[in-house]
Amino acid sequence: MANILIVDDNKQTIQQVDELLCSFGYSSLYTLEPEFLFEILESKPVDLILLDVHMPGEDGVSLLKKVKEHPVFRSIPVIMLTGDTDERLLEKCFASGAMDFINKPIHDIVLKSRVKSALSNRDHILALRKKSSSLKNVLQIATMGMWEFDCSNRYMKWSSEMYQIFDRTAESFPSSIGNFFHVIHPEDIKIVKPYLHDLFESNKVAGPLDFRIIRPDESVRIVHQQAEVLEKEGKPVHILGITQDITDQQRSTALQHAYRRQNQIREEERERLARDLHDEVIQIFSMLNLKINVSAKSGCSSESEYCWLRDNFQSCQELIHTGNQTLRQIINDLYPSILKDLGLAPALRAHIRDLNERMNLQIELHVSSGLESWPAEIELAVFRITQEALNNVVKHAKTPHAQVMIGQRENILWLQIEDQGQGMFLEEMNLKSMPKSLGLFLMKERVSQLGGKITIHSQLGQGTSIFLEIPHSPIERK
Amino acid sequence: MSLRLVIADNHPIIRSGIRMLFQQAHGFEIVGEAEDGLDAMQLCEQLSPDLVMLDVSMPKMNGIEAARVIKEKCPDTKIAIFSSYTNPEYITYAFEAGASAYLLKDEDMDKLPPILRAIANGETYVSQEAKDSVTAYQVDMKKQASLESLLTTREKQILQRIVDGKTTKEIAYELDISARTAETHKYNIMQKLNTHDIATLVRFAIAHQLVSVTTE
Repeated sequence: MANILIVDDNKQTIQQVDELLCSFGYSSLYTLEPEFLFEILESKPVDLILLDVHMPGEDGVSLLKKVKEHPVFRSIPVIMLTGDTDERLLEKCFASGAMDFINKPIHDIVLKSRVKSALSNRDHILALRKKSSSLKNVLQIATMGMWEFDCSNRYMKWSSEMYQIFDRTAESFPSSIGNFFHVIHPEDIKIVKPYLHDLFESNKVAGPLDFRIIRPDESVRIVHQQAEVLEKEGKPVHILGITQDITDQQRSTALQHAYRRQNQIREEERERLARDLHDEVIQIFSMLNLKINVSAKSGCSSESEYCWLRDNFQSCQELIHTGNQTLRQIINDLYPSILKDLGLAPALRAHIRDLNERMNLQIELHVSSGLESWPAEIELAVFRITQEALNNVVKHAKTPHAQVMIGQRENILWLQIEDQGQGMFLEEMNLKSMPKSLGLFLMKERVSQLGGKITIHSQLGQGTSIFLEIPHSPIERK
Repeated sequence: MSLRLVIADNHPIIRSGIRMLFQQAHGFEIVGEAEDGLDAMQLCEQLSPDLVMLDVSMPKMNGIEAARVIKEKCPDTKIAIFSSYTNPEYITYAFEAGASAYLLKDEDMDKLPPILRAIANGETYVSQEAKDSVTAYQVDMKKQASLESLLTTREKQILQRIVDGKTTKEIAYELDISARTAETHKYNIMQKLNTHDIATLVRFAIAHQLVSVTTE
């Protein structure tokens, strides 16, 4: 229920208004003495003031001014009550911040509708103010400042967030076009100067622009600049601009890019190493083998000599064979060429079989029928994640049993790796923060770079389950 | 008449070795040498040799892809894959692609000429070292791909309970897991079986006998 304060030196007016307000369902307060106005405002919440213009002592208009200049009470709407119809007086009231006026003698319908509209106006203003303060919050969070340029007097006004972006105060750094230029990174002046020139001299907007600025502490920030020219009758009147500090976003995307690139480089490097080993060393082994065979035959004059040579060569061949096997294992660990040659499912199958044999495990692989081929980057990521997850099973889960499942549905490739081992301490891994295991963090990074998602569940004694989905369309393998 | 042979390997050293070997053996004529799979394919098309020896990892087109195309374009040319990989996957894919032999590069080279003669006569050959793993692999291949095998033990327990009409909370309680974990399992099952709602999931599970249905 709205609280309405009546200030009038006339007892009868107060009585009449009080009764009417009561009948309309409002609660009211009143005072005959204007000097008590602020005392009442300070002690009770007031939603609307009805203020008599002519009062002995302090008159209504000067009181109105005081209310409107008060830091807290200025937002309370004031309706002036007057028997006077002097236009100049009315003008003075409105100029001082009155919301409305009611003529005496007071008519109940007039009172009712004016009070009602004043209160609803007040509600709108409050709502607006709330919005603007949340807008301010948004601007703060987005490190976004606003500015306004008046084309006629070339006056420039900055919002407080602008000063925060530039790390300066309004006193030390008056908002002006000139000062705008002062903060720009010297290397970016070339691109920014024509942009601002077009904007402020020709009033033309050349799309958004990103450039660097320098703060007083010499730190460099990256800002994103956008502007809009407001026209009136075909002529530019105002330019509204938004300047946003995008340094952090840029840095984190740059970091992500760097990470992805690093991943690529690592894979390329591994692939190159594996290829070199295969192309150079393995071929030399093969060649040695061939040569031994051929020379054993051709270099001997008799069958007995051949047999003798052959026995000697036999041990060489065995050595070559062992060397070959070791090297192949290394090559395969470096880069699974089977992945490129035959695809994801055969590569996983080969890897798991090899792991089972080497570590004496019983990992099962289940490939859903109709699994198609996926882009090389995705297949490699899924393969590496499986490798990593199975390494974890070997190292931490303390169980020989695990299942790997892979399949697709529509345009999503899914992979699940589950073990029945001892599980991890965390009931559910919070992957937003860096988990204890860097391996899991890197898995998550890899999946999110491909636009996919990963969930990891682990409970002590209940094993660990990893489920990931990567959206993409399958491709046709050559 | 000697057998006409094309050899394809991106390593000159290997090609020269093979050349040497077949020059000593009787009854072979090397009619062409290729550096990559694409080259090999084109040579076979032009020359229609009796035999082609293909390395697996070659630039442009790998040996297995090349084998597939050669089989299609020159069905009379017999294909021998000459590889350093012992993985049964390669071997299986090689034979699927139409190869008649899978030879390892570190095999006893004396055997090569007789093997190639045999495959020219329509026989097939796999190096001994790779044979066992292929058998194991084929058994393994038969095991996979049933729908049921795509569900983990835990998921099967949960699916059974969903079909029995239990709520996530009841399931979580019975299996001593958190409700959220149960919910995740449920989600994963649905994703894996490509169903979007519980009703479809239940129908699907019953139709594919992924659960047991008891009538009371």
